[in-house]
Formats: sequence, structure tokens, C-alpha cells
Amino acid sequence: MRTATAPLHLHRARSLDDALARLADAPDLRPIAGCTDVFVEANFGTLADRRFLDLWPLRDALGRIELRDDRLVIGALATYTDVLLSPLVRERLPILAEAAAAIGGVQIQNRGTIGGNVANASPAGDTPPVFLAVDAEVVLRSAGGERRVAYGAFHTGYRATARRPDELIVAIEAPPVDGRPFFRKVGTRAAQAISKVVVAGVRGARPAVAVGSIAPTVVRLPETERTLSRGAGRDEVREAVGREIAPIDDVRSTARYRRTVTANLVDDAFFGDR
Amino acid sequence: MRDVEKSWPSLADARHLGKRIDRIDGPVKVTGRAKYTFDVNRPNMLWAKFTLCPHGKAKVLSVDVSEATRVPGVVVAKELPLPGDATCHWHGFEVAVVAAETEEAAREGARRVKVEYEVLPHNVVDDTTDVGDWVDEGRSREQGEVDEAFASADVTVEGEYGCPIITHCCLESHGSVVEAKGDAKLEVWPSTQRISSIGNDFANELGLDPKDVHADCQHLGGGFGSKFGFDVWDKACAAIAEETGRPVKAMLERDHEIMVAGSRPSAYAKVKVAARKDGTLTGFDFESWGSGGPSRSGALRMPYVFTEVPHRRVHSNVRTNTGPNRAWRAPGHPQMAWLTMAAVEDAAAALGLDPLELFRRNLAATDRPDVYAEELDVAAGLIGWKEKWEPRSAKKGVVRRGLGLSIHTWGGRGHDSNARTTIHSDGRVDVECGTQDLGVGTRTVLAICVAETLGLPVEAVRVHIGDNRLPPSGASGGSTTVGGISSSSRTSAVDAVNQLIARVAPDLEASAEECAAAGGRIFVRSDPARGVAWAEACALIGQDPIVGNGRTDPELMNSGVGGVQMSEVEVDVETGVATMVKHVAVQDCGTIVDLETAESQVYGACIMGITSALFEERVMDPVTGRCLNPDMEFYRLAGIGDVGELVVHMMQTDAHHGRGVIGLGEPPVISPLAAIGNAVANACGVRVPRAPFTPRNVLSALAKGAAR
Ligand SMILES: Cc1cc2nc3c(=O)[nH]c(=O)nc-3n(C[C@H](O)[C@H](O)[C@H](O)COP(=O)(O)OP(=O)(O)OC[C@H]3O[C@@H](n4cnc5c(N)ncnc54)[C@H](O)[C@@H]3O)c2cc1C
Repeated sequence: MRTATAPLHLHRARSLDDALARLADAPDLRPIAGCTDVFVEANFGTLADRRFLDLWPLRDALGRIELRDDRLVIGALATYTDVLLSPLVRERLPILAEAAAAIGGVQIQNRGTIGGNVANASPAGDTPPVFLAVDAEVVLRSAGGERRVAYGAFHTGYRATARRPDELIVAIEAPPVDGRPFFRKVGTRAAQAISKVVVAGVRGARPAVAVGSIAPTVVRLPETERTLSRGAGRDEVREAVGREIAPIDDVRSTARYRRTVTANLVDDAFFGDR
Repeated sequence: MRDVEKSWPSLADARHLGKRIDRIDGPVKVTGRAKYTFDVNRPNMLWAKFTLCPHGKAKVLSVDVSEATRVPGVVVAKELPLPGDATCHWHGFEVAVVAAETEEAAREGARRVKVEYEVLPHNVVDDTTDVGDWVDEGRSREQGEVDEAFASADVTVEGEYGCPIITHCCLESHGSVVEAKGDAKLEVWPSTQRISSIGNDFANELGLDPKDVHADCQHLGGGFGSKFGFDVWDKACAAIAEETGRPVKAMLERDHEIMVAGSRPSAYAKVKVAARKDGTLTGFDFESWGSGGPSRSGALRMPYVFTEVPHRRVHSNVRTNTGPNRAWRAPGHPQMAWLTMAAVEDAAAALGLDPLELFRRNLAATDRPDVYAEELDVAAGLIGWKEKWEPRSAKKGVVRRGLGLSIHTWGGRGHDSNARTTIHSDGRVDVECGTQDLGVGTRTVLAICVAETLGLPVEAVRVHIGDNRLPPSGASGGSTTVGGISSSSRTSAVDAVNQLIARVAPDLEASAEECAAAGGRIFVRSDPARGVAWAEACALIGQDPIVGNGRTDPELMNSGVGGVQMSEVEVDVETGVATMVKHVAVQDCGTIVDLETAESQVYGACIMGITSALFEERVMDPVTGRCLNPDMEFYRLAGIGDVGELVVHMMQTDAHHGRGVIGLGEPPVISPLAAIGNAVANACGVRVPRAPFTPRNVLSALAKGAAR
């Protein structure tokens, strides 16, 4: 580990109120849930923070997956394993289970949380495209109260979000899905592979397409969606995808690969016979 | 007639030999009690870390360690000796070493060393010969009437194939722990493939008597050919241990290891094949090149296996500023197999033939037609070739399956080895041999050979290896270990047991020649009831134990093996992702000592080969000359979910068993790349010319194929 751990300070949250009060007092306090992202920073020696707030003790309160007013509510501290074992997720949002199964390996699935994946705001994160495609909402709470942010407004830039430092994500809420959802992740191996391209969407009256790993944040493809909803053919749809995304070359993939494969995946989802 | 014969028992008579026997050090490994060099921690020990050159090639103008020495905990910070031209020839070249009380302080110190460089022109590009002065052209060699073969061929097929430099990526990286003992004595714990001789290098380095250097390596987290050396880190540890009088530990960081401590040369070739309509291969023309870093990459002797086909070949060496090559499991063979078998498979596709048929038709051009014929049949049966194989043109849909095959060969004669078997009066048995266990099951092999000879259970034998005070044994390379140690331990045990029988025989009122040792007893062969239990026999030994000495015996070993592998893959033509469905490996290796660890070798080799086919590639930046993926996120290895179904079949007939022991570590790693590459071509309908068969390489081959 390249970051020295001795000077680090950890406070274990006793309750949600305790956690929110501490955050209100000390905005430099960094929340940690499963710590799977934060640990990577520590290992690379890029971890700047010194004071941490451990949310793991709040799993009872914030780790639940339930149905409220016909909306699927996923507690921020629900792990991928919780998602995989949840019959509600299987029934209401099976693509979230597909995404969870594709994340890291079993150890990461046991520790990594949905709230952490969303808050971490990596453009290559695997659950954001799912939430974006189904018009989910992020539920944020601070000592001052609760507010909701539409998923499309949550990721504001590269690794930047609408969350204020004194707020915690408490849940992600997904409305019922109107249509047949799909999810495809293209990594390089069966486990422990960050996505080269990740696509989620809904096939139905109002087609939705959300793509990760091709822009500074996860993005919807509105032009592609419009093209799809007016019943255009596959070539036109592929062209729309091509116009709408401008991926870059980086260590995980090339722009050309990402462009081609995003078009292939959208094509396959809406026109394929798989 | 001897009391206990030296020769190996037949398959029918053997009690342990050739059976499936669990690895005797399995429990200490899975419980974490096995101590690797990485686990050796001495009281008052210092950690050493290195300052590495960040450029492809650079002259060192000055090194300033003053800031490093001010880091709390740093004890030694110093420049390392550079070559005569004061130049670092690759990214990761060691410039300075820092030793400190903790690993973190050493790391911080190494970061604080200030080095001034003059950056020099470099080359890290090796996938083309269009690199100016960085290429040395080789001489052309020819066997048979090549021009005539091409002039009279029914078809000629041309292709270009290649595979990049890959690294060894041992689970345990390289390194040593060194402790000066006073009185010019040294204790060393190196992670090494040659425990019997490595102490001499430490002795030379410090001007000590080799007898005063004790080297110990009980467990090794892999070497694959990259741990024969006496390296910069070993020398630095020795010097600092001498200077400070404190134990010093240096284990390479993963980035350091990937950049400098191991690489397998790249290999590329333009290949022409001449063939007749019926699939008979009549000529090959290879124009190959490759890089092994700044030094030579080693010529590729192609065609591989089909050596009797007339051929011409010329190999050029591309010098690159990358960590120098080290022997990588079956040096040169995986590359030669890929470049040859891919061209052969393309010839089959051009002729509209099933490649299995074409391979069969050309076995006369190989060293061992009968063995290959048999192995091709076994492998084809196991993968279901007849039912599943379809020509490339038949492939449709988004997810396509394909089959491919390759065949390979290896020598594997045992090296020089000495062993000692000791039988104590309380019945205990020790076998000692100055060999090392790279993780392959060396201890188990020794226990089996001695137990078989003494007629005891495997658990009755205590095994001592990994120490240069034991009877010297060769380095573990070239699949030479199992032949060497099985014959030296066998002959040492024969010597010991015959001494014991000589003492017991008079009590049994028989001559030694009439007695045998089996089933935990010593008895008269013609009247087995007349005998004594092992413990009783040993009670006759008295105070001085019986010591049997043995050494490598050519009659107990042999050389020359063959193997066939077949692969089934699935390629998603939309994403370019290739996944393994099934991989079949059929392998012979003469007398199999332990069927279980032999199979394990083959499983491991297949996984390593699958990894090289689908994932591995050391990526260098042509602009800065830096290695871009010196970590395990981007230098990717297969996980268990990536390897598909593996099927291993060892040839274990009386004929194979009767040949003597032959090495197995290397041969099964040769064919996976070629077999998988051919399966990918069969699935895609077009050749993916460059390994690894990553989504990008697959898609761009498909795009090119579609454009044509
Ligand atoms: C080996 C490995 C493999 C991985 N594979 C994948 C993969 O395939 N796909 C993928 O998408 N990710 C992957 N990850 C990344 C990571 O596991 C996920 O992003 C995970 O969901 C993070 O959750 P966590 O609870 O561990 O977050 P933490 O590391 O605890 O936190 C991550 C960030 O979120 C903030 N945070 C956490 N919880 C909250 C909250 N409730 N409110 C506000 N802020 C919060 C933290 O302050 C921090 O900035 C991998 C990581 C590793 C180490």
C-alpha cells in the first residue's frame, strides 16, 4: 500500500443521524461504504483524504432493497451480492442483477455497494447506465433534510456529481420499467475487468439507451432514441449512434473500438435475434 | 539377479509410480505455512527498493541520493554500478538502491533519489522490420528443393502472423533475503531455479568461500525460466548485508518485475506454404523477425514439427529498449508452433480441407508419426472434432464457434542430479536432493520414487530439498528436473534398500538376491510369508543409519515427447470477444511418476497458454519508450472464468511407460496459442493474424476480412 495508513483517522457511524451530523460539521470527512474504490486510491498512493466516515454499520438501515409506491428502492449500502440475491430486483429490474453479476469478482460483489458505485461516478461504472436508462432518482440526505435528483442530472462531469459534501446518498429509486430492458458489458475477461463499453437500455414505446465508458460521464443517446422511436432502420440507427458519441483512446480501449462496438450493441439490442 | 532392481517396475507391478497421488506439500501450501522467499523475515531486517530509469534509453549524468538518506528510516542509499556507457537501456533499468527499516521508507527513499538523465533515441517497436538500424538481418537457410516446390505447387498460401513480447508474471516476484553471519559467512534465501549453484554467485560477489554461503529456498512461487540469474537485486542485497551487517530483503514490485525480470521474445513471420490438392505440404518459406529486448531474440527453427518438408527460413532480430528476454517455458516453441500451425491451418482452409485431415496426411514429415497419429485420434475424440468441425465459410450469426488444433514436441532429458536416501534404525526414511520445487510437485516425485523402491507408503518418506548443503542437483530448466531427480532418488533408494536387505537376509535364512521389499516388509520372494515388517528390519540397523547414494541414470530416463491440443472457442463478432469453450490436451512423457501432478502440469500449462492467447501483451509507448501496463489490471491474466472446460489426457500405456522418465513442464504450454488462434480463425471465418486475440484485434481482422 503506497499510502501510509498510520495518519488516517476513521469514525464509525453510529446512526444515520450521527453520520449526517458529523458530515455537517466536517465537510472534509470522506464517507466510505465497502471501501473497494477508496482502497484502490490508497494502494496507488493517490488518496488525499485523511479523515473517513465508515458507513458500513448503517447497513441495517440503508442496505435494504424494497418496493415503495411501486418504485424499487435500493438502499445505498446494498451490496452487489444483496442485489443478486434479491427476488425484487430479479422481478423489477433484472438488468441491475446482470450488471451486479458482471462486477469485479465475488469478493468485490460482497463488499462493493450500489451507493459507492454511483457516488464514485466513474465513467466506466457498471450500474450508472442501468439507472440512467430507467430514469431512476438519487435520494440524498443531509442534516438539513432530504432531496431527490433525477439520475440524468446527478453526474455533472468527470467524476463530479450533484452531491454536496454534507450529503449522503441514501438510496436509488427506480420507477417501473415500461418495456424490455437490456444490459451488455464488454470487458476483457470474465471477472475483474473494467468495462471497455457498457450499454443499458429499454426496448419499448419509449426506447432508452445509456452508455458508459465512452464519455466523461455515463450518457443517454437522445438522438439515437428518437431515431429508434420513429421506427428507423438499423443503418440509420447505427449512424445516429456514430454521430452522437465521441469516445477517446485510452488504456482500456480505442475510440474506434468503442464507437464500433457501441453501434453493434445497440443494433443487436434493438434488431438482433439474440 | 539383483535384490531390488534399478529399473522402473512395470505399470502392472507399480504401487505408486504412475498412480494419482496428491501433492505431499498441498496441506502446507493451502494453509499458508509454506515459506516462500517473500515470507522470510529476519530480526532487524532492512528492506531494499530500487530507483528505476523512467526512459526507454538514457545516459545517467548524475545521481544524488542526499534527499533519500534524509527520509526517516533510510539506512543506505546508493548508486548502482552502471554499464560502461553509463546508459540505461530500458524503462525500469535499476539506477540506485535504498535500504530502510520498513518497506514504505525504502520505497519513499527510492522515490527521492534524484537522477539527471540525457535522454537518448530508443526503439520499442518490434512488430515490423521497418525500424531503421534497429534490425539485424539474419542469414537465410534452406533445406530441400524449395523453389521447385513452390513452382510445382497446386496451391500456395501466404499469411502473416505474430505474437508480442509477454512477461513471466510469476505469482511470487523475484528477489532474495541475504544475511551476513559474521566470520565471512552468509545465509541467503533467494527465489531461484538453481539452489545448488546460486550460493557460488553470492560467494564470488563478496569474495567468500562458496562453502560459507548457505542458500535455502523451500518454496518458489514460479519461475518459468526467469529465475536462473544472479541479478541486480541479489547483488545489491549482498552488498548492503555485508556493509550494514543486517539482513536485507529485496522483492521486486510488480511493475519492476513486469518491466525487467522476464520477457518472452516476440515473433512475427511472413509465411508461404506450398501444397498439393490432397493436402500434402511440399514447401515452406519463412521470413521471420522478433525481439528479445536489446540482445538477440533467438532464431526460430521453422517449420515446427513438420521439419521434413522442404523449407527456407530467414530470421531478423529487432533490437528494442525493453527489459531483456529470459527463457520462458519452452523457449521459442510456442512462437514456432503458432507461426507454423497457423500457416498450415490457412493452407487447409484454402484447399477446402479439414485441418485435422491435413495434419494426419503430413505426419510422415514429423519425428514421431505414430505417436502423433494416436494422439490426434484421442484428442479428436475428446473434443468431438468429427461432429463439430465445420469449414470457416459455414459460420453464421453473432456468436460463432470454431475449432483449432496444434501439435508440438520437446526433449526433456533429465539433468545431472545427486540424491541420498537414509534409512534410520527406527524405520524413518529421509531423501535429500539439492533440487528446488518451482511449484510443480518436486517433493511428491521424490517421495514416490523412494517409497516405490522401498516398498513403503508415500507418507513414510521425508523429503528434503531447496538447500545447497544437500547433494547437488541441476537447475530446473528445459523440463530436466523430473528425469534427473527421479533417477537419482531411485538409484539412491535402491542402494539403501539393498544394504538393508543384506542385513536382514541372514535372519530370513536366504540370500539377499532372494529377498524383496514391498508392502512395508522385507521377505523371501519365493515364500512371502517368510519375512519381517519394515520396523523390525530397520531395528537391525544399529546406531549408524544406512545411507544410499544415487545419481542421474540414463537408463531410467529418456527424451523426446509429443503432444496434441485442440481448442473450441466462441467469438462474438459484434464485440470481438473470444471466449474459451473447451481445450483438450493430449500429452506423452514416457514413465509418468505421478499421474495427478503430471495432469496438474498440463492444466497449468493450458491456462498459461490460454492467457497468452487471449490477454497477454506488454505494451510499450513508442514516444517515451515506457512500458504502459506494468500492473495486473492492464497486464491481464486469465481468471478461472476465462479458461473454459479443460480436458487433459496423459498417454499412459505400457509402451509409453516403458520409455523411462521424460520432462513435462514445458511441452504442454507450446500448443495452446496455436490451437486457439486456429480455432478463432475457424470461428471468425478470417484469420486474426496477431495474438493476443483481444476484442480489438478480432474486430479489426473481421473488418479487414469484410472489406476484402
Ligand atoms: C478489483 C476491483 C474490481 C472492480 N470491478 C468493478 C466493475 O467491474 N465494475 C464497476 O463498476 N466497478 C468495479 N470496481 C469499483 C468498485 O468496486 C465499485 O465502484 C463499488 O460499487 C464501490 O462501492 P464501495 O461501497 O466499495 O465504495 P467506496 O470505495 O466505499 O466509496 C466509493 C466512493 O463513493 C463515496 N461513497 C460511498 N458510499 C457513499 C454514500 N452512501 N454516500 C455518498 N458517498 C458515498 C466514497 O466517499 C467514495 O468516494 C472494482 C473495484 C475493484 C477493487
